[in-house]
Order: sequence, then structure tokens, then C-alpha cells
Amino acid sequence: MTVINRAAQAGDPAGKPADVGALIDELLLDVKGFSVDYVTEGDPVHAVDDVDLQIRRGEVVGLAGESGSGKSTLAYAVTRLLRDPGVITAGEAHFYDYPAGSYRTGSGGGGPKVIDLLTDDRRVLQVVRWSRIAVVFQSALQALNPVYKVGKLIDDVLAAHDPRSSKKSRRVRAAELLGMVGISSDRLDSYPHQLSGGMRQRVMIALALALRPHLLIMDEPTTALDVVIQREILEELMQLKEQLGFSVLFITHDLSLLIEIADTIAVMYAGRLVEKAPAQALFRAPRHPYTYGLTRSFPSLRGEKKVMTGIPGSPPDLRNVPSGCPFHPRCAWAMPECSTTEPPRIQLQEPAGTREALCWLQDGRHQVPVELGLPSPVASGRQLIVPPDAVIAIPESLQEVAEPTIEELDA
Amino acid sequence: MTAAPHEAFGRAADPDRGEPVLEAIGITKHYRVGVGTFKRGTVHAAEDISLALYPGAVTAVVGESGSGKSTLTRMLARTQHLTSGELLFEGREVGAQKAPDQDYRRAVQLVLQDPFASLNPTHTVRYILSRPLQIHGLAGDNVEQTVLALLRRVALEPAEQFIDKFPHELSGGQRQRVSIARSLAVQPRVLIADEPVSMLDVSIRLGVLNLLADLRDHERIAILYVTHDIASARYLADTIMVMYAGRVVEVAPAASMTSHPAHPYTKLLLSAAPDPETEEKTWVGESGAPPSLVDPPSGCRFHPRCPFAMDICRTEAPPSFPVDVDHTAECWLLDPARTDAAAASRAAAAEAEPVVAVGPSDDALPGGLL
Repeated sequence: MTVINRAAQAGDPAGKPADVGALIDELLLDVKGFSVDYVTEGDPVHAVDDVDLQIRRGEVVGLAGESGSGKSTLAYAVTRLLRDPGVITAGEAHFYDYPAGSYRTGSGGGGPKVIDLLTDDRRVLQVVRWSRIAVVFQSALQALNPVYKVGKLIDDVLAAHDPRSSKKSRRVRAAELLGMVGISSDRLDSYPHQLSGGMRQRVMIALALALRPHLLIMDEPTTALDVVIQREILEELMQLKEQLGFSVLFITHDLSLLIEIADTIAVMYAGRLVEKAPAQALFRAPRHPYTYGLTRSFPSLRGEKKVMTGIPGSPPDLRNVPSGCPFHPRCAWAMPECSTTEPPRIQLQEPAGTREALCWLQDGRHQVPVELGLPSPVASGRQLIVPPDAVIAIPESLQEVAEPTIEELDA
Repeated sequence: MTAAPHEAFGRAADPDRGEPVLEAIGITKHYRVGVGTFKRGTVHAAEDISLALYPGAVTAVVGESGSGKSTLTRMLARTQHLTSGELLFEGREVGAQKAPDQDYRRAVQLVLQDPFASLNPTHTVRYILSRPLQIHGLAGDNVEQTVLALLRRVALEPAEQFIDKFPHELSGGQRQRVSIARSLAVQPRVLIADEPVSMLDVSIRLGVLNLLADLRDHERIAILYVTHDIASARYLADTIMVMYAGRVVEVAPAASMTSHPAHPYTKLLLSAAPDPETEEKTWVGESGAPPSLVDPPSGCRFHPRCPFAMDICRTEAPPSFPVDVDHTAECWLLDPARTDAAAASRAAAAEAEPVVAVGPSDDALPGGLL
């Protein structure tokens, strides 16, 4: 990987990038050189191609991309939920398992244990899934079993991961979990179809949080919902995240949403991770032409009305990806080498923090267009304002309870 | 054309806009449905909606699911009978209780949300675009040339390459363009677009919106743009109508709707919309969900969620009050005869300051309402 230090050029006296925060070392998920193919008749389709992605403790990482960009495939492959004909062809994925009771950031208690997520050991995966990494799927109506009541759905999860618990205590836990997401406990006896779309998605979140995961993967969790309900759920989610300290990988096509909730945003295009940067830096000062186009694809509610163009052309068919940089047919700055050679991953060290772009223009040998070289703002992260009087009661059972370790479950 | 329909819409005829092509006066749609095992109920899907569509103008209808915006499109296209109310096409009553005649079907065209479902997968683009020409007797001598011209009008070029493709060979944006071309084939006066870009990838949505803007500007087609995305409504439309629970609660020019919303629901909607350009976020917190339309709340349908609800809101549905030029809202807070009530509510609002700052409007509520 090419590393270009722009910090010194920008006149930063120390010449080193600003610290992203104390969390920088507390890596939770580390994905390196990850590739996924869909093997069908004929040539395999490269759905994910050589992707690096890190998630730190307490961080909200946004994964943005259009349909077919590989964002969901990446998430499902990393959690080993990928089904045939998907095959992981290269790369590694490690999960850092922090000791029980220390999953809140900064509470100490020894170093993390590294879990190889690409292991064949089913017992390891069994522990990791749900109790370390939980997934909230897009379509709550399809993800919730329609023949079980909500209480039974939650009970199933709790019982599967802690068979020694009593039925009564699990019922209490289930009620607490529902209360946490703003649903009254009498809904334990409702079937999923009796709930509104927003409530179903809340049940999904409660289910996902049932085993105190360290990482919550949310795949388009609010896309099917109305904008007011979407806002309510996101506000709740961010409050829960602050109080419980889990990390979030938020997958969506809606970049405008990510800019508001994510700390870091990664943008995918045709299976490649084309840009990764702190949220505000990515929005205000994109480095990749595709990101630049995306940030100009949604009209604003404020400011002067101006004609916007979006991005010409259509996203590529993964069975027939353009040679070289897959974005070059739609790129306003395409150069001869863009159509022949895949661009390298360039790490840019800027005063606002380290960021990455997959583009020939940023390799230091080319003149960077003005639009792709704006100074990135240092401030980043969420802008959501939590109402001052809003407090979510976190049930004790979710706070500092020792979790079963892999050794215990083995026994 | 008499002046009465305009008065019903709450505005004077605007000489610059010309006469409306299509006008709705108090159109209402109720659906009979089963409630429980034996009971029958009525869904009040759209209630007393009046609007006027002008040539060369886009009117946006914004609302959440269940607000009645799709019902409205079906009523205007007359694929469903009205329960009551009347439609005027070019100033003439069309007899909206009857099935539409061929002239009306030709003049008012519907573009649907899902281009993956609205194009027959077994036919080529050539067939899809030549069928309306044949049905309406517009085929002429050279259908192929007409179809190619249609493809060029929606920027599917080179048109010769697209004409023999099947829908599955096209991307979502290209399909939606074919769908728009199919509507244009019969030279409509009115295009009713029901969420035309919500199924499309983000990067190609603006291309389709710009195509609609082009049709408005260069072909003077009257467009009704139905969406849940108020930012795209601001981008494309001249006038925005906000619907809630089957009623139009606010009508305003696009710019004033987003900068000076008057109805508490519009403010809620604006505060919930993601917008990275808005630095200061204000959010009221939870306020409940839209009501059941089988048994809608008495009085103002928004009162159970409204932070400013007064006694009258619970008993009487508010009429439309003027806010500004061409800007009206159905809210008792705007009643000039109730300034006392508004002042009392303002005092109450001042006490609970952080909770009531609903919208991105700079004005504090409900001062900003007045």
C-alpha cells in the first residue's frame, strides 16, 4: 500500500496525523485482504475484492454502497453467515474478544483474545455469533419467525446460549429487553404480524442485543421504514450504543444518513472498498471520484437550490466489471491507466486523520483535481443530539454480567 | 371555468400559470374492509383533497406510508372510483364516478414505483413502447422511428441498441426511463409519478428527477411527483403538498415549505429527514405513530401526536388557514380568531423550550407558526 503523508504538506507542525482518539488501539474487528466469490456456472463473480476494514471498540462504522456493491456480502462473509454459492477466496478476519465485564471501553481487565473468524471450529463460531457479533437484518417481517410470539423468539436465543437459566428468569430478561427498545412487556405475547414495521425492527434490535454483543451489524435496518420512525429508532440505537458500549457496522445505501450517525465511513463500489475516512471528512472533502459523485447525489433541505447531476451511467454488472478501475467509465477524471490497471490503495495521512482511497489520482504522481483535494475538516463523528431528558433504562442484566467464554462453553 | 374551484383550493387563479390541466375538488376515497371476523369497517384513505396541476409545473405530494398519497394517484388516474368529489380536466367535469374514457386515459399517465414489476418481462422495449401507440391509434407509418425518438427523449442512447432489449437486460434507472417513455408515447398532458426514484440506486436518482424536470420545462407537462423524501420534493417541485393520515395538512411553494413549515407535522417530518447540511439537529423524540385510518382520531388527525394540541383540536377538524402567499395549512394554531389560544400555547411552549423546537426552522415554535 502506498502511504502519502499530506500532514506535513498541509503545514502541520508535528507532521503526524491527529489521533482518532484513545480507542485507536482497541481494535474489535480486523478484516484484511478479504475476497468473496459467487461461484456459478461459468466464471465466478467477484462480489468482494481485496477489502480491508477495521472496527474499533465503541466505533460506528458506516458501510455505504449501491445495490450489488458487495456491502452485505462482506458483512455476511465476515460473520460466516454466507450461503452457497458464496465462497471466501482470500483474506483473513480476526475478532478481538475482550475479557468479560470489560466490554465497555476503558474498563481495563487484561488483553483481548484473538479469534480467527475463518475457523472451521463450529463451537467457536457458535460463541461468536450473537454473543459477540449480532446481526440486525433488513426485513424484520421475514427475519422474525411468524409462528412464534415475540416472547418465544427472545426466549429461544437466551435458552440456546445459556441452557442453565430458568424459564422464568428468561421471561423477565425478555421483558427487560423489550422495555429497553421502548416496547411494553405485554407485547411479549404478540406475533410479529401484529406489530407495526417500526416495532418489528425494534424487536430485531432487542433480539440482537439479548446476549450483549460487542459488535452489532445492521444491514439496512431502517430502509423499509418511514423517515420519522427511522429517526426514532436511530436515536434510540445511538443512546443504547453510548450506554452499552458496543460497536456498530451500519450498512446502507443512504450516505446522508451515515454522515449523521457514523464515526468512519467506508464506501464500496463493484466489490472494492474505494474510500474510507472519518464521516465529515468523507462528506466535506471526498478523495475518490465516486464518493464525490455520491455526496452530490442527494439534494439538501437547506441552502440554494442548484441543479445536481448525480453520477452518469449505471453501476456495473458484476459479471462484466470494466477493466482497470471499475469506476472509470463513469468517472469525469478518468486517465488512460484507469482503464488498464487497477488503482492501488493509497493511504493518505492528513491532519484530520488517516484515510484511504483506491484511485490513481491520489498516488502522489498526479495532479489532484481541486474537487478531490479539499482540506478535510478535523471535527468528525456524530451530530445527533440526544434530547436532554431522554434516558433509556438499561436493565441490570445487560450491564456488567460475566459472559461465558469459549473455554466454559467447551466444557 | 368558474372561479369556484380555485376558491375551494384556497387560492386565486394565478394568471402566470395559465389554467390548470387537471383539478381535483374535495376528492375522497373510502375502502370497505373486513375488521376482525365479522365486522366491516371503512378505511378513510383520502379525505377531501383539492389540488390543481398546471402545465409546466411539478406538484410534489409528500407523506409517510399510509398517508393516502398512492390512493391520491389512483384517484387522479381514475384507476379507482372516487367515493365523492369531482375532477376537472381542462376545466370540464369528467364525471369521476364513471370509468375514464380513452381521451382521459391518454391525457393522464401514471409512472409506477417499481420498474422491475411495471414492465412485462416477456416483451422487448420495442413492443412495450409501441403498444400504447397502437392502442391509442398513434402508430402512424413508422412505429420504429417513433419508438426510437421516445428512447432518445428519455436519454436512452444509442436508441438503436436499446430498442430490442428485454427489461432484464436493463438497469433499474434504464427501466424507469423506459417506463417514463411508455407514458410519453401517448403525448400526455399530465404525468403522475408515484415514487419514481425510490427503488433506484442513489447515484442515478437525480438523472431521473432531472428528466422529469426537463419534461416540465420543455414539454410543459403537468407533473404530480409523489414521494416520501421531502428533500427531493424541494429539489424538483414548484409546490409541495404534505399529507398526513389521508388529509392534505399543508400546501406551500417548495422553498417556503422547507424553510418556513407551518404545520407541526411538517416540522416533525423535516426534523426527521437526514440532511448533512443541517448543522443544528433538533428532534422532538418519540411522538407515536400515524393513526389507524379505520377509526381516525376525532378533530385534527394529528392531535394525538401534536405537542401543541388544544381542546378544539380534539373535537373539530381544522379548516385550511392562509399562512403566506400560496401557503396554507390545516392547523388551529393558525386561526386568526384564536390568537388567544395561540398565545397561551406559545407561553406553554416557551416553558418547555428544548422539547418543542420541532423543525429546522429558525423561529421558535409556535411563534414560527404565525
